[in-house]
Amino acid sequence: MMRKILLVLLTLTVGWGALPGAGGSVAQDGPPTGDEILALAAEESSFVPEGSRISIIEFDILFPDGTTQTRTFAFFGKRDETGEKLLIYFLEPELECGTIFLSHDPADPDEDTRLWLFLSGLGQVKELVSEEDRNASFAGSNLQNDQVGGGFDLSEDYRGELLGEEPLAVRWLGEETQRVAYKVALTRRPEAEVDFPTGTVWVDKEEFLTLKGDFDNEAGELEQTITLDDFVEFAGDIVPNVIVVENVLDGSRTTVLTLERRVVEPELPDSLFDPDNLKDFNPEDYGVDSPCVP
Amino acid sequence: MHRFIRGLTLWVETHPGLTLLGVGVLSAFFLGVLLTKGLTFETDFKKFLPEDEPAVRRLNEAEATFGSQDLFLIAIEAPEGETIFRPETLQKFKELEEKLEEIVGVDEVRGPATAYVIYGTQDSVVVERAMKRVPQTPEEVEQYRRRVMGDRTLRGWLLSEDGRAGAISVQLEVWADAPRVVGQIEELIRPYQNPERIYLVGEPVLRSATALSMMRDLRVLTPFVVLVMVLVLFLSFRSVRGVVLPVSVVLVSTLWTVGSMALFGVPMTPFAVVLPVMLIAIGAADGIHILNKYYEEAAERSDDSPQTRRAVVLATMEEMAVPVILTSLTTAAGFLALMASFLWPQRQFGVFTALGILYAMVLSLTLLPALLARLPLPKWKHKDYYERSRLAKGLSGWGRAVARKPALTLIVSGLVLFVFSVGIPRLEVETRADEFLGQQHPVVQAMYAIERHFGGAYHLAVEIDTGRRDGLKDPKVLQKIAALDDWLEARPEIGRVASIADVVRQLNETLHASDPAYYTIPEDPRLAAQLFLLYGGKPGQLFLGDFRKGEVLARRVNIGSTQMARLVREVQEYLDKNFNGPGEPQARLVGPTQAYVALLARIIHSQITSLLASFVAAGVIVTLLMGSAIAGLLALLPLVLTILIEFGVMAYAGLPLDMGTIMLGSIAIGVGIDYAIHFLHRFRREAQRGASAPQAFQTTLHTAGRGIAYNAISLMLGFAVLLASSFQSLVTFGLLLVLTMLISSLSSFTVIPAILLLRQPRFLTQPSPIWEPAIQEPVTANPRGPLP
Repeated sequence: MMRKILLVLLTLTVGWGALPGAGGSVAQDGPPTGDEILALAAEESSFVPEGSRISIIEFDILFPDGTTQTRTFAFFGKRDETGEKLLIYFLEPELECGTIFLSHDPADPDEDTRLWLFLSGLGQVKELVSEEDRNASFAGSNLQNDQVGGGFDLSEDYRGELLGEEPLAVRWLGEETQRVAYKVALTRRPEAEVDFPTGTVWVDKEEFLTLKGDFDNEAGELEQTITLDDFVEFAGDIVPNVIVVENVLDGSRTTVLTLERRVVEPELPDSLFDPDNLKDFNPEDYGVDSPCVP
Repeated sequence: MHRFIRGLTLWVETHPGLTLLGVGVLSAFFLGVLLTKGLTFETDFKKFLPEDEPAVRRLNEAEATFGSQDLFLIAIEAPEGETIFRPETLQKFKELEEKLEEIVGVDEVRGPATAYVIYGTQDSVVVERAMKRVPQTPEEVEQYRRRVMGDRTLRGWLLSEDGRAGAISVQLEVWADAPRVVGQIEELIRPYQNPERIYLVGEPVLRSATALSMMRDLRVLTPFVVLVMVLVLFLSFRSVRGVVLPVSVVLVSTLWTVGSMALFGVPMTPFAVVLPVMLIAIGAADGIHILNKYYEEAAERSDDSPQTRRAVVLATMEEMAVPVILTSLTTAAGFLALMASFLWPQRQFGVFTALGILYAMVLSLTLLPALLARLPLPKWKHKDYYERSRLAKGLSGWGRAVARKPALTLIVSGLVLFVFSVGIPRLEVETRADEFLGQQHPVVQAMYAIERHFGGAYHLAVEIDTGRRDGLKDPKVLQKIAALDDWLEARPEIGRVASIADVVRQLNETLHASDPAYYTIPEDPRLAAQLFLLYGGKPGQLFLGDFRKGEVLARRVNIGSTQMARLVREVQEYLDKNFNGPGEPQARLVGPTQAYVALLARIIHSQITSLLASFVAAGVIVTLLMGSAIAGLLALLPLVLTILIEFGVMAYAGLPLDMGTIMLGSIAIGVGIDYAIHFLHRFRREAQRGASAPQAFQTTLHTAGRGIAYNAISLMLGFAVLLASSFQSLVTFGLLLVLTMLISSLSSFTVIPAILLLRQPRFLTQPSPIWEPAIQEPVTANPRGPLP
């Protein structure tokens, strides 16, 4: 569960993504098929360089009951030949400040991802051993574990059918513009364990980045929409600063804002990602101001 | 008015084709409306509540904020002497839970097979499925049992304390078609019954069962009551016209009424499901009395020319129009008095029953004479048949007894009244779902099962409002909520309690290596807040996303409304004492329990108002149309007796006044006054013809009295059809209506004549200035000779 969540958060927000054009070309003369578009869009989110990143991310959640919650995190991520490591430090709200999630995702696919939790109120580190359903809600947000975990690798769970092209208004590299997107109809694969059997996705024609997704429930009604916006260039990639996931039936919404992201050189030390060191972790050592560090 | 009646009768006699055409066109219109728009059904009891009522507003706000607080469970009860911890039973849980998840419209399924257990060790927090695979060996079963029974979120909620039952909690999607999902679940669980018993419980189930019961009642009771009417009419009149004509009137008026409901988009509710039965039973009365008089008039004629036929019909209608209109208006007024009810289904029932009665009146005044004038006069002398009948002998005997000792008759009536009236203070106002549906109803059986094993099938909900974001994460607030939980759980009416305090205590225990000593609220507010990061549920069930407000949900057993009122009062006292101070979190009851209790007082009040309103309306109508206040009072006397004796019987029999029977009074007045009106009207007519009081009494007994008897029998048998209803409450209602008809008809033959024999008020010999011309004919020959 947490592996997929953290992987995609890492991918989308920390800024790891494909270099423009890398692995994204279409060989044939005619337009690509829907399946090809989905595969290319998946490639864009999976080809990642090595290195260390720090980002400040804000989750704005609007619950179905009309109340809201905002959480701000500092993400410390590192990817090398041993695998991926991620430390999520809670900055806000005040009562949660100092809480840390830590994940180790080994490069060896036979090894399991490990997760730890440090609660500043408890002063102890606990390893999380969880089999929880990947469709469960992530931190009360509209992002499901599998949806967040799967990111926009829709090719794994859906077949695609190209419906045509459509212009979409997005903020692209600092300007409000219209990007031409492939419009692809989605149909759930028989073996897929996703909540939404059908949907539509819009994929940027040039960069094969997913711009928007609409997902229908079992009754055929539109239930969830995902919108990506404010695309910026970062470390040679084009990444979204804003992701909005909305449930149109119950009115809930989660907005993921990337407030800041930077490449860290030299690399973040491995000791940062040691669970035994979580108690002593100070984000200010890495240039991240924390309201709960005295 | 008399001229109008005469004019109308003459017109329909001479234009039968047009009359029939008019009736046909209207009938076709209403039938068309029914076929195109159809009749809708409303079974959600919460929608019956007035939305502007503060208690109901609280309920609706809580549901809008926190979602539906009703349980929707599938409970599996192990065979006698067993527990559910057997591979075969656990296999059923696994299969059912997996299949439930596949149903479109089901959002979440949580049961003994799919639930997660969460526990802590020194170094870790483990969240894992309670059952990875179905345990087969005794050791595996025991290991599973210890794992799940050791989890407080499962024990008592999804698993009974004694292990005899397990429950699968089902949450529906907001967009789900609940009746369809319920139907699919019922189909799904059917093959899994036995040896375990499987129950389906929940508000959607109750609504679905209610809708099915309503449709069944409509399908079964309506033709049943028609059959009963046919039988009674045939036995009364022994002729085809004696059956066909009144039945035609009631069927057409019922069609028009139900068509009117469809036209205005008014749904059928559990209250209105008796409407066709009521209309058919009551609507036949006009036809019975008209035919009764028709046969009487026809017996005096020797030729069968068209003129004679029309003269017979004219004489019949001139005599019967007044009482028919009077009785129809008073009956309609009795039902219209239900407009004082604040439950709209009762108001709707009152309005449309009144409308149906007025439709029947119009048809009786037009269709019946139009058809009768065209038919040959009956060859068979109904009078001869009647005079040989047991009814005639019975009425004669009764008449002799009353005429001999009218004062004694009144004394005996008074004594009977006294004996039953003294029991009335024992009468309880109670409504329980099991008594509404009946204890054997599968839905009620399921509720009992949930009560036995899981502490209650209903929710009592308390809303806690801290007034500030993250207020519920404050340990001081959590301590108060924990204390409330413990106080509620100690009460006998309450089973298990769930709240945010339980969540925090459970998580704190888990994080401290599942040490029970840590099943407490942490003192550090940071820890209390951070514990929620481990919470896997969605906000909105026990607390809102910003932790400003939350709910405490207590499972409540099925108790009567009196006990419920006491519970609500005591809970509110506790809340006022421990919360609700300045600067303190505010706590109030918000669920269906408090709404019901708050409304109960209003229900009683509105029904008393309805009763008084119908009483007054009936009395005023009779007074106005008979031109005498004494006549109005006399007509009401049998009703006073009827209602007081009725309530006394209910008190002695332990039958409570509930949502169904509480309508009894208004209906009794509306229907029961008919007998008094017919009796008084005929008695007066005979007195105006010069008859002495004894002579008038005897004649009335064997003319209008005959019609009253036929009418009372037909109504008693018609209402007895309700004994076949799916709703226990309607069965009781039907029984009481039968009793009402019996008492009110007998009172009309007893109290009224006894008073009139002792003293003859002036109105008897004076015509009503509104209705009647003075009668010039001599005294009518007594058909049976003078009373001995």
